[in-house]
Amino acid sequence: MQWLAIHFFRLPVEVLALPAPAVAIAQQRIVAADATAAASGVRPGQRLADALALLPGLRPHERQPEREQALLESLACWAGNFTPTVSLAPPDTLLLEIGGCLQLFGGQAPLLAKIRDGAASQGLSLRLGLAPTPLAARWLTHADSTTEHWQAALATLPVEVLGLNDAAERRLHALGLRTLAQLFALPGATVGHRFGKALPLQLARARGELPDPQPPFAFPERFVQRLELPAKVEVADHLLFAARRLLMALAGWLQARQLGITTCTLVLDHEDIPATHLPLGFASLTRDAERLIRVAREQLERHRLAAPVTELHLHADAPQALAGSSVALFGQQDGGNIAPVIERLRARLGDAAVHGLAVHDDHRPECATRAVPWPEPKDAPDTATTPPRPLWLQAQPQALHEVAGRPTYAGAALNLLTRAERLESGWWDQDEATGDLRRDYFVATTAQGAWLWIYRDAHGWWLHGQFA
Amino acid sequence: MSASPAALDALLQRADLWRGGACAHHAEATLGSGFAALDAVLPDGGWPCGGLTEVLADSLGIGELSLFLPALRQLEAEAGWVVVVAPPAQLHAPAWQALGLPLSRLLVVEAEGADAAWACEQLLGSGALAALLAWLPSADARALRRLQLASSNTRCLSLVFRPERVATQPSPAPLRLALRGSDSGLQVDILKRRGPPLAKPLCLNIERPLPWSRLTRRAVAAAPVRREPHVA
Repeated sequence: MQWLAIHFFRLPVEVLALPAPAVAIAQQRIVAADATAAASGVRPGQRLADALALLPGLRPHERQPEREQALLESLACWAGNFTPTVSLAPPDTLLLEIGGCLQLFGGQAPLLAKIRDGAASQGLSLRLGLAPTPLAARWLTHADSTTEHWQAALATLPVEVLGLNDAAERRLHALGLRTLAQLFALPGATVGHRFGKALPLQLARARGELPDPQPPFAFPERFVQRLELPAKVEVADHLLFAARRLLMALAGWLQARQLGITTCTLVLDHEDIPATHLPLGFASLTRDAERLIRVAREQLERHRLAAPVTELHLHADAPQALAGSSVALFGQQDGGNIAPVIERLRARLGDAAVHGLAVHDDHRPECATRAVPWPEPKDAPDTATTPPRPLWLQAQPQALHEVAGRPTYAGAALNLLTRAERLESGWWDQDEATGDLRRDYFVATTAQGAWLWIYRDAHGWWLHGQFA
Repeated sequence: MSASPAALDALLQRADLWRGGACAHHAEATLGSGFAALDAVLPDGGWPCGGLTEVLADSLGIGELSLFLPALRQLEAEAGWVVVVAPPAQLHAPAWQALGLPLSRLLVVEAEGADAAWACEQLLGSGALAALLAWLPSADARALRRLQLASSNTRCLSLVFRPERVATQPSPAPLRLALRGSDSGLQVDILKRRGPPLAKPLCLNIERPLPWSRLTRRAVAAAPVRREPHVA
């Protein structure tokens, strides 16, 4: 077992996403300060008046515990990207069992780097602690320690990490006990007698002498998450930062539940008018956070807001089972994946602009090609040997002049090379777009050496395609 | 002081440097064109995979795609996708399939102007393409340079089709061809290659719906049907 504790030590202020410098306060005391405020000496526990004296431009905001709880749960979903064993340690810590997934990420250092990058892109500060027991991992976050020598690191921690009440802390100090090492050196019975029975138990759990089971975080059955925006947002691409938190949580939730999606819906709530639904479509089943974010960015960049946005919702539509992918045995790579690019093209050019082709069984040339959203995996066996057909087909047949009984193209007579091929079909949809056809087709060449496919019907000669 | 012969040899290994009479040799992959006469004059003995090939042709139907059919048929399923960007007309799926271009690996991207060039760049960047066929009549030198850069990092047969009037404009593509139709075959004029210019265009008997001999034996089946199509 290897427990990684992630302590979001600025969660109360970062959940509010206020412009810096900002602090979250409760009962006129600082609970958490953002990086700018902390650099000016604003510390948790200070009185607001003192903090304002240090930094007059400070923006105080009342702490919102229910939003912190919601964000912590959303972060637990995001942590599903890394491991299925996640536990909440409210109010601001997550516990991840990473011993089983180090191989997948290529070791501890790449995994920790991924976690740090992911948190930074969501605008969250974190401290990590790594130890074989969950409690030691939580305590080690105070030193942001992920060292292998966790016992040595644990011993040097100050006694404040225990989170005892003030009176108990004063008694520890009075006895000259400053670090955990000094506390570990004392007999358990003595410590229990002086500081309550709980403390020696805690110390034993941290050192792995007693079991310390953690309730696992249950990934919700359905993914519906909301995010209240700190201020009304009037430009769509400013929403991306907020949407990113939701999308990264969605990716983790999908990973933990072994699901993938082809669509999800980003709902933008407005104050007065009905909400805007922004569907995000993907070319193939996915749970890749990068792909989700890229498509959201394309959509948001092109979207014009009808009204300022106050809140974001994200729904996963109809998730389907998506098995994990195996790591290649010899590290070989297939030649890249086209699906993310197709999504980007569709987001900018429209869904219909990128398509595959399929053959439709119809003798009428206009109806023989069907655009399909994605090519069918296997080609239909091509058994019938047909007369020549051109690679290019004109969307609208082009009228040709007839001079002395011969069709002309660009002023010059065409040279007909074949006998007439009669196509007569479509009586069943007389009034439809294509309708009933009666045509004689010929292969013809121009003086410039172009090979054309032309036909004659009751109305004259028509150019229908080119043999490219 | 002159450089040592060893240094000169090392210099001649560069893709963008060649002796006056010979062609530069690229280390990159090539696809045999299927025409011995053409392979003999292409710098690497085939169509380059990686790097743009600019094809200048004015009219549709002279065989601008048939010239590349033998190469496109060689592409293995694992090599990647064949993507057609901004086609000048609709693709007639039965014909593409009948000519041996599998529809299961074919994608069509409809785009115009700058969007088409942008789409090509995105597609080349994915590294998942075996061949790109793009019609970019209005692309400027800057867009082409971006495509050339994106393409040179891939192993993708990158064909850019443009009208013949741009032949006088400079282009970053290392290989430029002008195509003209004729009675005896497709005239391929290599306007630019990494090597000496060619004296005269090649005439290739590319694949056509009918044998080339039918063109010379005129009037065999040329007489149009005089009567009106039967209307019930």
